[in-house]
Amino acid sequence: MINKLEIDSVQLQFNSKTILSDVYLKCETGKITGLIGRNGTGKTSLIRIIYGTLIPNHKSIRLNEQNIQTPYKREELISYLPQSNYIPKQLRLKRIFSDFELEYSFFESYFTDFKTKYNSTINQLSGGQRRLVESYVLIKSNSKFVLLDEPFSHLTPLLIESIKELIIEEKVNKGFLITDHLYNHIVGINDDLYLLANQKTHLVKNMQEIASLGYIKEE
Amino acid sequence: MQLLKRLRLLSTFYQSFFAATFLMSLVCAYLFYYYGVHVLKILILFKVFTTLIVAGYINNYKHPNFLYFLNLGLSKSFLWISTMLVEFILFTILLLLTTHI
Repeated sequence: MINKLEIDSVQLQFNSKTILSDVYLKCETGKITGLIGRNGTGKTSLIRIIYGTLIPNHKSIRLNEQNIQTPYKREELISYLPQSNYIPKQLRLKRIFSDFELEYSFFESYFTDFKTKYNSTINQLSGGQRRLVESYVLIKSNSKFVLLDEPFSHLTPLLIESIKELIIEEKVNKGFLITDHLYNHIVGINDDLYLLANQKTHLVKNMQEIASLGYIKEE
Repeated sequence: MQLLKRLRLLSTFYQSFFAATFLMSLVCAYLFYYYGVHVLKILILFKVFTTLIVAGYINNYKHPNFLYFLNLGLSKSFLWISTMLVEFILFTILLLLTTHI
Protein backbone atom coordinates (compact mmCIF):
# COMPACT_ATOMS: atom_id res chain seq x y z
CA MET A 1 0.00 0.00 0.00
CA ILE A 2 1.22 3.49 -0.88
CA ASN A 3 0.97 5.85 2.10
CA LYS A 4 1.08 9.58 1.68
CA LEU A 5 2.12 12.05 4.38
CA GLU A 6 1.48 15.72 3.67
CA ILE A 7 2.08 18.89 5.63
CA ASP A 8 0.94 22.39 4.81
CA SER A 9 -0.38 25.64 6.33
CA VAL A 10 2.57 25.74 8.71
CA GLN A 11 3.04 28.96 10.65
CA LEU A 12 5.98 29.01 13.03
CA GLN A 13 7.17 32.06 14.92
CA PHE A 14 9.83 32.43 17.61
CA ASN A 15 9.62 35.71 19.56
CA SER A 16 7.53 37.31 16.80
CA LYS A 17 10.13 36.32 14.17
CA THR A 18 8.54 34.24 11.44
CA ILE A 19 10.51 31.06 10.71
CA LEU A 20 8.05 29.17 8.51
CA SER A 21 5.05 30.68 6.82
CA ASP A 22 4.13 28.92 3.60
CA VAL A 23 5.17 25.32 3.65
CA TYR A 24 3.96 22.37 1.66
CA LEU A 25 5.75 19.05 1.70
CA LYS A 26 4.74 15.57 0.63
CA CYS A 27 6.34 12.26 1.49
CA GLU A 28 5.22 8.94 0.00
CA THR A 29 5.96 5.24 0.30
CA GLY A 30 8.58 4.36 -2.29
CA LYS A 31 10.03 7.84 -2.41
CA ILE A 32 12.98 9.64 -0.89
CA THR A 33 12.14 13.26 -0.27
CA GLY A 34 15.06 15.59 0.28
CA LEU A 35 14.88 18.81 2.26
CA ILE A 36 17.73 21.29 1.93
CA GLY A 37 18.22 24.86 3.02
CA ARG A 38 20.73 27.25 4.50
CA ASN A 39 21.54 27.25 8.21
CA GLY A 40 18.74 28.64 10.34
CA THR A 41 16.03 28.37 7.70
CA GLY A 42 13.99 25.98 9.83
CA LYS A 43 14.71 22.52 8.42
CA THR A 44 14.99 20.84 11.81
CA SER A 45 12.00 22.79 13.10
CA LEU A 46 9.95 21.58 10.13
CA ILE A 47 10.98 17.98 10.73
CA ARG A 48 10.07 18.29 14.41
CA ILE A 49 6.71 19.81 13.46
CA ILE A 50 6.03 16.86 11.15
CA TYR A 51 7.03 14.43 13.89
CA GLY A 52 4.80 16.34 16.31
CA THR A 53 7.26 17.26 19.06
CA LEU A 54 7.38 20.95 18.07
CA ILE A 55 4.05 22.74 18.19
CA PRO A 56 3.84 25.60 15.69
CA ASN A 57 1.28 28.41 15.62
CA HIS A 58 -0.57 26.51 12.91
CA LYS A 59 -0.15 23.33 10.90
CA SER A 60 -2.03 20.69 8.95
CA ILE A 61 -0.61 17.18 8.75
CA ARG A 62 -2.44 14.49 6.83
CA LEU A 63 -1.83 10.80 6.42
CA ASN A 64 -3.71 9.45 3.41
CA GLU A 65 -5.98 12.52 3.51
CA GLN A 66 -6.79 12.04 7.22
CA ASN A 67 -5.70 14.72 9.70
CA ILE A 68 -3.25 13.64 12.40
CA GLN A 69 -2.15 15.83 15.28
CA THR A 70 0.60 13.90 17.03
CA PRO A 71 2.29 11.47 14.62
CA TYR A 72 5.04 10.65 17.15
CA LYS A 73 2.53 8.82 19.34
CA ARG A 74 2.35 6.10 16.66
CA GLU A 75 5.76 4.47 16.39
CA GLU A 76 4.46 2.19 13.61
CA LEU A 77 3.75 5.35 11.59
CA ILE A 78 6.82 7.51 11.97
CA SER A 79 10.42 7.44 13.24
CA TYR A 80 12.76 10.36 13.71
CA LEU A 81 16.54 10.55 13.70
CA PRO A 82 17.55 13.80 15.44
CA GLN A 83 20.85 15.59 14.85
CA SER A 84 22.13 14.72 18.31
CA ASN A 85 22.86 11.26 19.70
CA TYR A 86 19.62 9.84 21.05
CA ILE A 87 20.46 6.31 22.22
CA PRO A 88 21.18 6.13 25.98
CA LYS A 89 24.94 5.68 26.24
CA GLN A 90 24.87 2.70 28.58
CA LEU A 91 22.91 0.48 26.16
CA ARG A 92 24.68 -2.40 24.43
CA LEU A 93 24.22 -3.05 20.70
CA LYS A 94 22.70 -6.42 21.60
CA ARG A 95 19.98 -4.64 23.55
CA ILE A 96 19.41 -1.89 20.95
CA PHE A 97 18.88 -4.41 18.16
CA SER A 98 16.57 -6.40 20.40
CA ASP A 99 14.51 -3.27 21.21
CA PHE A 100 14.10 -2.49 17.51
CA GLU A 101 13.52 -6.19 16.72
CA LEU A 102 16.33 -6.27 14.16
CA GLU A 103 18.78 -9.03 13.22
CA TYR A 104 22.30 -8.13 14.29
CA SER A 105 23.77 -10.78 11.93
CA PHE A 106 22.40 -8.91 8.92
CA PHE A 107 23.86 -5.66 10.21
CA GLU A 108 27.33 -7.14 10.82
CA SER A 109 27.34 -8.79 7.40
CA TYR A 110 26.75 -5.35 5.93
CA PHE A 111 29.17 -3.53 8.22
CA THR A 112 31.96 -6.00 8.99
CA ASP A 113 33.69 -3.64 11.47
CA PHE A 114 30.88 -4.48 13.87
CA LYS A 115 31.62 -8.23 14.06
CA THR A 116 33.19 -7.81 17.50
CA LYS A 117 30.88 -5.09 18.78
CA TYR A 118 27.75 -7.06 19.68
CA ASN A 119 28.33 -6.68 23.41
CA SER A 120 29.77 -3.17 23.25
CA THR A 121 27.85 -0.25 24.65
CA ILE A 122 26.93 2.51 22.20
CA ASN A 123 29.24 4.80 24.18
CA GLN A 124 32.25 2.61 23.33
CA LEU A 125 31.82 3.22 19.60
CA SER A 126 33.41 6.05 17.65
CA GLY A 127 31.23 9.04 16.70
CA GLY A 128 30.77 7.73 13.17
CA GLN A 129 29.97 4.18 14.29
CA ARG A 130 27.46 5.53 16.80
CA ARG A 131 25.77 7.65 14.12
CA LEU A 132 25.68 4.62 11.83
CA VAL A 133 23.90 2.45 14.42
CA GLU A 134 21.47 5.26 15.26
CA SER A 135 20.61 5.74 11.58
CA TYR A 136 20.50 2.02 10.76
CA VAL A 137 17.95 1.00 13.40
CA LEU A 138 15.53 3.70 12.23
CA ILE A 139 16.06 3.10 8.51
CA LYS A 140 15.27 -0.59 9.11
CA SER A 141 12.45 0.04 11.59
CA ASN A 142 8.87 -0.92 10.87
CA SER A 143 7.64 2.66 10.55
CA LYS A 144 5.83 3.81 7.43
CA PHE A 145 7.85 7.04 7.37
CA VAL A 146 11.35 7.84 8.53
CA LEU A 147 12.56 11.39 9.13
CA LEU A 148 16.36 11.64 9.01
CA ASP A 149 18.02 14.84 10.20
CA GLU A 150 21.65 14.82 9.07
CA PRO A 151 22.12 11.03 8.76
CA PHE A 152 25.45 11.44 6.93
CA SER A 153 27.17 13.54 9.61
CA HIS A 154 30.40 12.02 10.97
CA LEU A 155 30.30 9.16 8.47
CA THR A 156 33.14 8.23 6.13
CA PRO A 157 32.39 8.29 2.37
CA LEU A 158 32.17 4.49 2.27
CA LEU A 159 29.67 4.37 5.12
CA ILE A 160 27.63 7.15 3.50
CA GLU A 161 27.38 5.03 0.36
CA SER A 162 26.26 2.02 2.43
CA ILE A 163 23.61 4.08 4.21
CA LYS A 164 22.38 5.42 0.88
CA GLU A 165 22.12 1.84 -0.45
CA LEU A 166 20.13 0.84 2.63
CA ILE A 167 17.75 3.77 2.23
CA ILE A 168 17.18 2.91 -1.43
CA GLU A 169 16.52 -0.74 -0.47
CA GLU A 170 14.10 0.22 2.30
CA LYS A 171 12.13 2.81 0.35
CA VAL A 172 10.11 -0.02 -1.16
CA ASN A 173 8.36 -0.30 2.22
CA LYS A 174 8.38 3.26 3.49
CA GLY A 175 8.82 6.93 2.73
CA PHE A 176 11.93 8.88 3.71
CA LEU A 177 12.38 12.55 4.44
CA ILE A 178 16.06 13.45 4.61
CA THR A 179 17.83 16.67 5.39
CA ASP A 180 21.60 17.05 5.41
CA HIS A 181 24.15 19.70 4.53
CA LEU A 182 25.97 17.10 2.43
CA TYR A 183 23.32 17.95 -0.16
CA ASN A 184 25.10 16.18 -3.03
CA HIS A 185 24.37 12.87 -1.28
CA ILE A 186 20.67 13.76 -1.05
CA VAL A 187 20.54 14.98 -4.63
CA GLY A 188 22.03 11.65 -5.69
CA ILE A 189 19.21 9.53 -4.29
CA ASN A 190 16.14 11.75 -3.92
CA ASP A 191 12.90 11.42 -5.84
CA ASP A 192 11.64 14.85 -4.79
CA LEU A 193 13.67 17.73 -3.47
CA TYR A 194 12.40 20.69 -1.47
CA LEU A 195 14.47 23.76 -0.74
CA LEU A 196 13.56 25.82 2.29
CA ALA A 197 14.17 29.51 1.68
CA ASN A 198 12.40 32.74 2.63
CA GLN A 199 10.22 30.77 5.11
CA LYS A 200 8.75 28.68 2.27
CA THR A 201 9.39 25.30 0.68
CA HIS A 202 10.21 25.28 -3.01
CA LEU A 203 10.02 22.06 -5.01
CA VAL A 204 13.21 22.22 -7.06
CA LYS A 205 14.10 20.18 -10.13
CA ASN A 206 17.69 21.07 -10.98
CA MET A 207 20.86 22.75 -9.79
CA GLN A 208 19.99 26.02 -11.52
CA GLU A 209 16.86 26.34 -9.40
CA ILE A 210 18.83 25.47 -6.25
CA ALA A 211 21.39 28.14 -7.15
CA SER A 212 18.75 30.73 -7.98
CA LEU A 213 17.34 30.33 -4.46
CA GLY A 214 20.75 31.08 -3.00
CA TYR A 215 21.65 27.65 -1.60
CA ILE A 216 24.71 27.15 -3.81
CA LYS A 217 26.77 29.53 -5.94
CA GLU A 218 25.60 30.09 -9.46
CA GLU A 219 28.04 28.77 -12.08
CA MET B 1 6.26 -9.95 24.84
CA GLN B 2 5.35 -6.33 24.14
CA LEU B 3 4.62 -5.86 27.85
CA LEU B 4 8.04 -7.26 28.78
CA LYS B 5 9.68 -4.97 26.25
CA ARG B 6 7.85 -1.94 27.65
CA LEU B 7 8.85 -2.88 31.19
CA ARG B 8 12.46 -3.27 30.09
CA LEU B 9 12.38 0.17 28.45
CA LEU B 10 10.79 1.69 31.55
CA SER B 11 13.49 0.10 33.66
CA THR B 12 16.19 1.59 31.40
CA PHE B 13 14.66 5.03 31.80
CA TYR B 14 14.28 4.58 35.57
CA GLN B 15 17.92 3.55 35.90
CA SER B 16 19.00 6.95 34.52
CA PHE B 17 17.99 8.64 37.80
CA PHE B 18 17.24 5.80 40.25
CA ALA B 19 20.46 6.17 42.27
CA ALA B 20 19.79 9.85 43.03
CA THR B 21 16.10 9.51 43.94
CA PHE B 22 16.61 6.30 45.94
CA LEU B 23 19.33 8.00 47.96
CA MET B 24 16.88 10.79 48.79
CA SER B 25 14.28 8.20 49.81
CA LEU B 26 16.82 6.56 52.11
CA VAL B 27 17.65 9.92 53.69
CA CYS B 28 13.93 10.57 54.22
CA ALA B 29 13.43 7.10 55.70
CA TYR B 30 16.30 7.67 58.16
CA LEU B 31 14.93 11.08 59.21
CA PHE B 32 11.45 9.58 59.61
CA TYR B 33 12.87 6.81 61.79
CA TYR B 34 14.84 9.32 63.87
CA TYR B 35 12.30 12.14 64.31
CA GLY B 36 9.02 10.31 63.98
CA VAL B 37 5.71 11.05 62.31
CA HIS B 38 5.60 14.79 63.06
CA VAL B 39 8.22 15.48 60.33
CA LEU B 40 6.29 13.49 57.71
CA LYS B 41 4.94 16.56 55.89
CA ILE B 42 8.41 18.10 55.63
CA LEU B 43 9.87 14.81 54.38
CA ILE B 44 7.19 14.48 51.69
CA LEU B 45 7.85 18.05 50.57
CA PHE B 46 11.60 17.37 50.56
CA LYS B 47 11.09 14.20 48.52
CA VAL B 48 8.84 15.97 46.00
CA PHE B 49 11.23 18.92 45.72
CA THR B 50 14.37 16.78 45.17
CA THR B 51 12.53 14.54 42.71
CA LEU B 52 11.48 17.62 40.72
CA ILE B 53 15.11 18.77 40.59
CA VAL B 54 16.19 15.37 39.26
CA ALA B 55 13.33 15.39 36.71
CA GLY B 56 14.33 18.89 35.62
CA TYR B 57 17.91 17.75 35.13
CA ILE B 58 16.84 14.75 33.03
CA ASN B 59 14.44 16.88 30.95
CA ASN B 60 17.10 19.54 30.28
CA TYR B 61 20.29 17.57 29.89
CA LYS B 62 19.19 14.14 28.69
CA HIS B 63 16.28 15.17 26.48
CA PRO B 64 17.64 13.55 23.27
CA ASN B 65 17.33 10.17 25.02
CA PHE B 66 13.55 10.61 25.10
CA LEU B 67 13.61 10.10 21.34
CA TYR B 68 14.94 6.58 21.82
CA PHE B 69 11.85 5.71 23.83
CA LEU B 70 9.56 7.74 21.56
CA ASN B 71 10.82 5.86 18.50
CA LEU B 72 9.91 2.67 20.35
CA GLY B 73 6.43 3.89 21.26
CA LEU B 74 6.87 5.21 24.81
CA SER B 75 5.95 8.85 25.26
CA LYS B 76 7.66 11.20 27.68
CA SER B 77 4.54 11.53 29.84
CA PHE B 78 4.13 7.74 29.99
CA LEU B 79 7.76 7.36 31.09
CA TRP B 80 7.45 9.98 33.84
CA ILE B 81 4.05 8.92 35.15
CA SER B 82 5.03 5.23 35.33
CA THR B 83 8.40 5.76 36.98
CA MET B 84 7.10 8.38 39.42
CA LEU B 85 4.38 5.98 40.47
CA VAL B 86 6.99 3.32 41.23
CA GLU B 87 9.22 5.91 42.88
CA PHE B 88 6.55 7.06 45.34
CA ILE B 89 5.39 3.51 46.08
CA LEU B 90 9.00 2.68 46.93
CA PHE B 91 9.25 5.81 49.06
CA THR B 92 6.08 4.85 50.99
CA ILE B 93 7.33 1.28 51.52
CA LEU B 94 10.64 2.57 52.88
CA LEU B 95 8.84 4.86 55.35
CA LEU B 96 6.54 2.05 56.44
CA LEU B 97 9.50 -0.29 56.94
CA THR B 98 11.07 2.13 59.41
CA THR B 99 8.00 1.80 61.65
CA HIS B 100 8.74 -1.94 61.97
CA ILE B 101 12.34 -1.56 63.11
